[in-house]
Amino acid sequence: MAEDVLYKYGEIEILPTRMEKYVQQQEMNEGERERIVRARNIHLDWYHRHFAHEILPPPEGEWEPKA
Amino acid sequence: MTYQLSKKDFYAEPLTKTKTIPEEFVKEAYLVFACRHKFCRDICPNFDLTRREAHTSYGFHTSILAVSRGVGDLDKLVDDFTYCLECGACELRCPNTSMGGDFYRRSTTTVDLVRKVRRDHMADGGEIGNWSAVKDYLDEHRGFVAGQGELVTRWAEGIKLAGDMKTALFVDFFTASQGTEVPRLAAQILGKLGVRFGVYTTPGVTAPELLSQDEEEWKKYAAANVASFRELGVKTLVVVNPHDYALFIREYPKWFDMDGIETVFVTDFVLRTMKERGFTPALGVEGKFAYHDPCTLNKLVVEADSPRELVAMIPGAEIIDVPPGNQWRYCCGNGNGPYRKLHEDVAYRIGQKRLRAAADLGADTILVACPHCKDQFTDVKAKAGLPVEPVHVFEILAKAMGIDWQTTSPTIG
Repeated sequence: MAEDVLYKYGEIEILPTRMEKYVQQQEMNEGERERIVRARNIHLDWYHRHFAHEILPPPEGEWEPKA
Repeated sequence: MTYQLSKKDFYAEPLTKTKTIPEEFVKEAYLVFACRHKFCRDICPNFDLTRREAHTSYGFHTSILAVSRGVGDLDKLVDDFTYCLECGACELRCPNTSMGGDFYRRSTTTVDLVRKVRRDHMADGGEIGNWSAVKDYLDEHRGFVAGQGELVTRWAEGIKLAGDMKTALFVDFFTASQGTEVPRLAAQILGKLGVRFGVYTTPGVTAPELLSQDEEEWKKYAAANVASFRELGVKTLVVVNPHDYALFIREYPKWFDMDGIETVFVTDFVLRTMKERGFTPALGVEGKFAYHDPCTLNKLVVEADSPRELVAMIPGAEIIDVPPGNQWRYCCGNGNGPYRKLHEDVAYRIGQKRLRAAADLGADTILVACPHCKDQFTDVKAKAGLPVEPVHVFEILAKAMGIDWQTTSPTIG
């Protein structure tokens, strides 16, 4: 994982200092984060159902952020 | 359900004609303008009918950018902002939300944006076409507040309620006055399940329409509600109208501490109670039903399972299901704000398209979990003559539980 990240609510989030020069971050709690993840999964499920013949897993160990 | 806090502090600064648009707001507009995917356009139930890009999330953000660059005039563009159903589909499909919102802690918030533009424009002396219809509707709500103690419980005539406010049923003006079968059914189903509950009798003006007109007034009513919940010792708030539910989950946390108060949508609460108490409906209700996801549950809160699970428990009932994700592009046409009052014709055509889709599935009944959807579909069915009957999920659940809700008035609690 090349980016500097925070670990929050069990997920990764960009370091706020890396965002400051672009745009303000918003207030967001765990419930909102879960909503976004749920919606993303719903959309990806739909996408896979319609367009994917096979879903390839990521390479071993690649999906886990380094501590 | 967990409260969902999503708040942009720079939205607090009003947009006015005399001041330049704040830099952060311009960046906000550019973040969507710079996108060429336009997924927000293809998922929008309004765009599906009007085919006007100016009526989409992309169009709203582009309009703001145009005004900021001096090539657009909000007076001329503001009517486009009324063509938003406030359903939230565009927010979910926007890559800024779905593919990075949680990582960058920055998402697209179109519903908040259109409400802000409308109210800032009116506060700055601008006008919005046909807004008098919305004002009249809100005035009805204010009249209701004056005598709400009596009005809010009229729907429960003949039903003896326990009055224990630890678990409180939240019934707003619309359901107390027009969609009365929903709280009446909910009360009798909860009674049958042995739940002790009271009815919250001072809900104030809870209409999301008010957020498009005067946020401060909406907050005043909301603050009074939170204070009353604390005073009455409410621990679990069971909400019968999903429009209110979405406001509790998404708007209240922006300004109020809701710790210690659990807000639950009524179908979630009924399902949970049935599972806890091992209750299953015994009577069969034969039929093939289409189910329509309300925008508030499916897109704003993104939690749409409990009505389906309740129907699945009924012997003989079969849902010809369209998965929630496929229903993001649907709306009944009412919208989650003033849409139907402002654009009756387009609202009707959106509803007609949705009912026709249900008819094409071979269903003769479309189940809903929202009194506004039922109201809109009933209207559309009558005008269009489509052979699909809108029915609230609780109507068939009550039947399966042996409740003759239209003629009996059992004691609750």
